[in-house]
Amino acid sequence: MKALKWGLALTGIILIFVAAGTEKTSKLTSNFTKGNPGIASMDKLAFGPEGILLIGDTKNAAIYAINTMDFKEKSEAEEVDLEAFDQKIASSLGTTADQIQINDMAVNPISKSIYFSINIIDGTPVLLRLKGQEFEHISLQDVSYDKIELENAVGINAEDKRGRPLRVWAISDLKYHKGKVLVSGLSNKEFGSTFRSISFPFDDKQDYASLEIWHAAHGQYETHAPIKTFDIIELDKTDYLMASYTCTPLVLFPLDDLKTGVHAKGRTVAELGAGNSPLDMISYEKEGKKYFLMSNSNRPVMRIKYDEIADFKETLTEPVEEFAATEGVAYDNLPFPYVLQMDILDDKNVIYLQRTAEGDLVLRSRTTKWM
Amino acid sequence: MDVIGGLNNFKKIRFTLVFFYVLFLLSCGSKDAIQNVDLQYQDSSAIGVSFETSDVNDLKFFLKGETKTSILGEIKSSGHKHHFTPVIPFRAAQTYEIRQGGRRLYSFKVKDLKNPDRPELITIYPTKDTVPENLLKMYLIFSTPMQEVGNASDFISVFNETEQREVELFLNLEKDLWDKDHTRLTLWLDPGRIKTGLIPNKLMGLPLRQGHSYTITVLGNWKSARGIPLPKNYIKKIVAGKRDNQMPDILNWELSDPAANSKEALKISFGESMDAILARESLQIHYKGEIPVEGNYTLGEYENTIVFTPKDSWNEGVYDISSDSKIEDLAGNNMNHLFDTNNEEIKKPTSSETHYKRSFTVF
Repeated sequence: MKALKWGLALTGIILIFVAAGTEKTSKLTSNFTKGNPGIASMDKLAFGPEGILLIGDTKNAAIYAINTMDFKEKSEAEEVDLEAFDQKIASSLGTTADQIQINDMAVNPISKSIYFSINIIDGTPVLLRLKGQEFEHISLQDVSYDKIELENAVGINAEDKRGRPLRVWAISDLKYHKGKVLVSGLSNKEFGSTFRSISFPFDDKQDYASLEIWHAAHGQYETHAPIKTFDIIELDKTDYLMASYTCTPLVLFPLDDLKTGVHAKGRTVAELGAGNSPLDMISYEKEGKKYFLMSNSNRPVMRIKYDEIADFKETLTEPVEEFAATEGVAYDNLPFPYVLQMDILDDKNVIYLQRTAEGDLVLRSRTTKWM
Repeated sequence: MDVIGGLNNFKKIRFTLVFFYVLFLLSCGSKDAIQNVDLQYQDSSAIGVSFETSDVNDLKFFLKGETKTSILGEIKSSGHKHHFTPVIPFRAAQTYEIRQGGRRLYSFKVKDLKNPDRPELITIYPTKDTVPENLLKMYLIFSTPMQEVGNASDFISVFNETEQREVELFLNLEKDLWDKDHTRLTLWLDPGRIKTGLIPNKLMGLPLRQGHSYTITVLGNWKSARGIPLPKNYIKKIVAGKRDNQMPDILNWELSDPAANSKEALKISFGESMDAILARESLQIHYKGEIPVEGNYTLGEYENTIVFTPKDSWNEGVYDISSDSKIEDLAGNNMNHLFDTNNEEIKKPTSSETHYKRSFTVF
């Protein structure tokens, strides 16, 4: 009798755990299928909830959601300081650094694991995860996944109004925000620069708006300039898309305005200098205040205070005549040039990939206290 | 005696110990030995290696010369037989090592590619040497898909012979503009410097300066997608001529006169060099206004002409030649507007037509 009681109790506990486990994966991954998603390129990575990795595939003009099953909670990440990082990746693939390219980096906010999408010289995409000083290969041969094809994505041979092939810009950045997958890039529609908001789990509904900005460095309105990188900022209880463009305007669009068929005009709040292209943007909190970091092709990492953006009520509409001069929201230059990738590692640290003055590629974590 | 006898005994014991030690080493060696190594190839790529050994614990594969970071992959075992599949195929002509506990057990070299498709730079468009000072773009056409890592700017240098200095002629993009096959690269001269009134144009002027000569060098260390470098440096010399401020006009094109009931080619002379890629994609010929005429389009010398060879013989009657308005000359001027729409001095009426047509009669 006693044994039976124990048996029933044990069965109950197991059932509770199984139910909890099923509950955890059923909400967002119930539509997922198992198999090889057939990803052709991994241009952009971003993490959604529950360890779901979002992959932007420009060649297939699609977004993939992969259940990495990597949801073991970790509050603090380990310190990272790896030199010759590209050589290390190349060695782990049995090749040399000139045969690979690191496309993107993303941190799983639950496990704090760092993921990398790599291109091999022949275009083969590879997904790796850092484990201590080594890498793990994340095989996508047989995974649980879902995908959505981007509506009106730039055709593989489409060209812009100047005849310039556009496909390369199909996906320029990717983020997850409040149940939506946000994607910037270009579409085949009349106005080239689009921003998509896709419900997740994918339900085949995607809002896409075309965007127009005042480009102070070019002295004219532009619709063809694609967003290079973006983040979301909340001002007066409204979410805004904060988009950064090549050459380097910073523009705000109310997120609610970005709907299908809408041609949205942005409010340019900063001109961060011509002759530069933004590479990555992240936000973090320090001592109760929020900051944004933006890495650049030809400028060091810029730190912008949330309060500065909130207090800037104007719109820049005058050309910046002096080459590489800046206007609008103030920013600080941090002593980190040539930062190629950044992400939030945990509550207190960021992780970044940087090309040093000596030409070495390093992956380092750093406390936000000193950022 | 006892002492001597004791020494002899000691020698015997020592000899026996050494014998067993050597035997032990030999047995260890044979236990660790990697045997029957066989590389598997698929489409000339070494996709895996099978081998036999008694113990695969801590057995790792390394690129020769690398001792810390092992190669990612999967070992599948069946008894003493094992198979290692690397995440990406082993590289051609590269030597790899199998190590266990830091000790090298075996090394093998991957076969070089048989008859590798050595890449060649087939054409640089425009093919002519004298180009307008407001030249908008150039194309590099390769014989095989090129590498999908790095940036084109790493392999192209431009020297202004007139000023005797290296210059940045092409727009440096984070991701280069390749076609789907990765055989055609589009290089843009900075549109911001070509369009009048834009800040880059005001500050730096046109990328090309009229009367100046330039040497464009495509470096021989640019590799194909299979890692095979170009056979040599390629040199293209150009001279910047006068500005092109004219839009292409289909009515100004000269047409040859193919005979009815023949497959004679129709030669279309543009009167100027055109964008090679757009010229090939923009034209269409119709019979009686609606029946498409099938055939091949071949660009002529310096992209001044295009030759249409019909699949079937010409009929007697009226044909239309239709051009997509996006067809461009070397300065990016299309049939609807000049590329530099901002220049007030040369401003011309713009249009939004998608196609332009003209008729010709075959007798």
